[in-house]
Amino acid sequence: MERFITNVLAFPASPDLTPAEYNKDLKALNDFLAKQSPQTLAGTRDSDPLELLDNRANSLGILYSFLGRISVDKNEAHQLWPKLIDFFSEFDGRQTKFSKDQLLGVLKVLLQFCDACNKPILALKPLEHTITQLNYATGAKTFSSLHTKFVKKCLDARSFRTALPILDIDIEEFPVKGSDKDVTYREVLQYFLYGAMIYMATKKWRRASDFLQFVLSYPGIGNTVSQIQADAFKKFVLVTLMLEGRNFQLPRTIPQPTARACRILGRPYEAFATAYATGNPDLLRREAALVKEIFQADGNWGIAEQCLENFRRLGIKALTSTYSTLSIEAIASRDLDVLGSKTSATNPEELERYILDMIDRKEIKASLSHSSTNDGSTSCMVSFHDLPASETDILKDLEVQIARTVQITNQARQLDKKLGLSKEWISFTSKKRGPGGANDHVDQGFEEMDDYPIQGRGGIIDMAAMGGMVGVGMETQGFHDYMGVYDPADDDMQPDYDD
Amino acid sequence: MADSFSLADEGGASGAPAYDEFEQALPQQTASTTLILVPELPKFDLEQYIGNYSGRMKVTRLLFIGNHCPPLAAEALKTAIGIVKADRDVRLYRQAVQSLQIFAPNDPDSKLDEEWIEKTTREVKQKTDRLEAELKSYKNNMIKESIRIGHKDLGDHFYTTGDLASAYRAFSRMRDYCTSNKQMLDMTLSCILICIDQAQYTSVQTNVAKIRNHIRSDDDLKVHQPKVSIAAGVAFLASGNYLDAARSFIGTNPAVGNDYNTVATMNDVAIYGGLTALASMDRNMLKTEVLDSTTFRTFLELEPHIRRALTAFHSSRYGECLSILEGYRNDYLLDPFLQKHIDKIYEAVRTKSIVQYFIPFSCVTLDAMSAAFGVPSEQMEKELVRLIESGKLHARIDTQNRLVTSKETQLRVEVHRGTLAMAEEYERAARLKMLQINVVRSGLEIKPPKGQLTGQGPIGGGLGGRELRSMMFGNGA
Repeated sequence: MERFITNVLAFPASPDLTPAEYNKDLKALNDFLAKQSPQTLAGTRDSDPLELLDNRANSLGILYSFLGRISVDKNEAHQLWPKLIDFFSEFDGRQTKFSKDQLLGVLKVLLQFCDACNKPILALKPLEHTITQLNYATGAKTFSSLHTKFVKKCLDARSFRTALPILDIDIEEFPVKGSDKDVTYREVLQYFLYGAMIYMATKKWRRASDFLQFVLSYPGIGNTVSQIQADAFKKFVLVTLMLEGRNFQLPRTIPQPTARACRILGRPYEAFATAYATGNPDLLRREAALVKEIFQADGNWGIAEQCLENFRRLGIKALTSTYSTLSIEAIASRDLDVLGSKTSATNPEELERYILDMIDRKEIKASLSHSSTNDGSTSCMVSFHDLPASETDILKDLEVQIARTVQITNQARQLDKKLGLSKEWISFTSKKRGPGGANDHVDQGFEEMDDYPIQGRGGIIDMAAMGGMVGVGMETQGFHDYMGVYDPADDDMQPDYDD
Repeated sequence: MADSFSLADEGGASGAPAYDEFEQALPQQTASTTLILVPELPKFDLEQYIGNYSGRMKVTRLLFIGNHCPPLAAEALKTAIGIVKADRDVRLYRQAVQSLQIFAPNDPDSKLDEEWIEKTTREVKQKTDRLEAELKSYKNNMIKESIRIGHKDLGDHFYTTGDLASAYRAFSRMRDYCTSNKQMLDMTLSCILICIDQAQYTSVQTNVAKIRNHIRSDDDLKVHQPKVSIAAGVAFLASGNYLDAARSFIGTNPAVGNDYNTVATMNDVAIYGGLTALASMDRNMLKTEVLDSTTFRTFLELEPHIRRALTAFHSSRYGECLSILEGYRNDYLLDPFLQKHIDKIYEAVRTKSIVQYFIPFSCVTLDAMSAAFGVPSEQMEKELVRLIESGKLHARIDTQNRLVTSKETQLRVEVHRGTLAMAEEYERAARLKMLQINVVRSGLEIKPPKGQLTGQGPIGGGLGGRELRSMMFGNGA
């Protein structure tokens, strides 16, 4: 018992160990702890390891201690849960990287407890922290089964904003084939569908559309289509209407079988979208009434209602490009409010408030002027103006976008390198070209890859000339550093390949 | 031997449905265009007008006018019946008489001459049999030239008596027996003629392409270029491709004279060319390609009003141009090639006029515009709204002051916005592709339910890295 505590406290030996030394010590400690009996690890009432050790500094020790307590008594979770939550919200992923199974085992107990007492909100913070710590090097960028659990719990708890920090991190890796039994295509699809739902709830339509698009274009073997994809298709139609306001088009990336199956299952949605795109309020109202029940059964009526609300907004927006001034009465007579019934004529005053609201939100730029006519009644004219476009704002956006493009280009090159070193590629080239295949790969690969930096660089040079985008340090020096990141000359073929 | 029998069979049995389709298409056309009845007299004189044409086109046009213009119907149909009787075309005769019964039920010609029909059918049948027998004997003798002439005689016979599908087949069969380039050209021209008669304009286009390969000498070019241009122009016009049609007609050599009046006269070329040019070209193109064209000038002199309309449009007197065109609307509605397109052409001219009219202004009053185009201002406003909404006119309407103002375009900002949108699109596409590749790399594809996986092989085995790469980079740019 004493030895257990001392050993745990003795790690790490000093704060500035090299990674290799750190790993060696950590492994030794891990092996030592794995050999201890549950009773030792659980400790006694007088010397409770959970009290003696610190969540952050001695994460590994605490983890094993929990493990001991739980294996001694299954129902310990009822007493332990506040401590478990604290631990999972604070622990250091570097220490637990060799004991992922144990970590997930303990976490499972906590999740079961949360389910049992029906309080999904309790699990959010621990899950979020665990996701970032689980795959220590890449953090939340590597997909894990916890991603799905976390997003599901956020939906259950209706705590959408909590999910955003994790959802906003783009998934870049999936677990290596066969390394994680808990991750199947279902988890991946569910994560992206739930993620899209959260984005929809927080009105981030673009991101929701991206997520759904991924679900729809998910690769399958043969003609297999998942029901999750069919559900995603329905939401995708509505999200596209929200985003574009016109008829949606299936992205070309969707495989044929998926597209066909989705079309069949989502026919009412397509019909709704077609009616929406005609811009005819009567047609849309009729179609909406027809599909309402189906949408409600699917749980999509909420977005559909938002689409209908948006119809009026888009209609008024479209007017700004046709007219420079228009009277409120003329707008009202256009019958854009599809949510209300046709018979209740649009009240000009209500419409006036509505337009003022749109101006406030900077959706349109317009001004209202009241004038009284001879017979005593007043009429209100709306003058539309062009939305102001500030060049500096756009340039700033462009700079950000360029940085992102450079980043994604680098990612693409890394992935390409990994693919070039994969077994499939090597056997493919050697089969195809015989013994000379390997050379061919090098040529081919670089031919394609060379386009990338050149494109990026051209953009950067232009931008640098235009907006002086390298603001930090010596202008030229900074520029060269920036360039250095993706210069093909120092791109050695030695792989940074760790799996 | 067997071949000649099968020829007879095809001519009778399988040839008939094709022709019947054409037959059915005609009444449908007239049924749908019964709305387009021209109640007033057109500007031309029927006798003089029809005298310009020869061959079947004469009958085609007469029947067309007979079906669409009540005041001229009786005269046109009676002339047509005369010609058809001389040609021994029984089907067209029935059709003409039926039409005449509607317009002039008391006319002696409006009764079907059953006796004549019976006699003619028999005669035609006899001649067909005779020609086929001749062809058969030629085939036995294996002399290429005789076989060609045999096919040609048969084709001509079918053509005059109105069995166009059989005629087309007979002419096509000549191809194998043509020994000289000239024969080839003649054969293809006959085919084009039949296709125009049948209103099968895609076949016209393929035959035009064929004939261009066979024009080798300058002499050939001189003789055949005008015919080919006109045929191509008519085909483009029918498919609604006005710009190419205009170019075809304008490029026609005026030496054609009356050589091709089995399809169109020189006056027709001027009208078709002028109208399609008005519908598809802007002011500069009209000047350089149409008004300054030395060849087309000869045509335009025949139809001075088309010339006036073109000049008016070029010198920005749009109202005048439109009113000239409007004055001749009836004439054009009675042209079998133009009728279906005349509304579209006028619409296009009108749209272009409004757009061109507005170019030099930053601000015009609605009243000035409606005066310039001669329509009430409410209608003008509606028209403008339609043009703006379809993105053809860059302007905005000020309903308070009744003004039309042009939109300011900020090119710099637009370019920046476009760039941004493109970059975002690229990023999104790249991310999506990489995710997909990673899914495949990790073997996480959607799998069929257990027990249904048959012979799929190892996961990813078929997907070499190359495919993944091309999948990723193919969409990159």
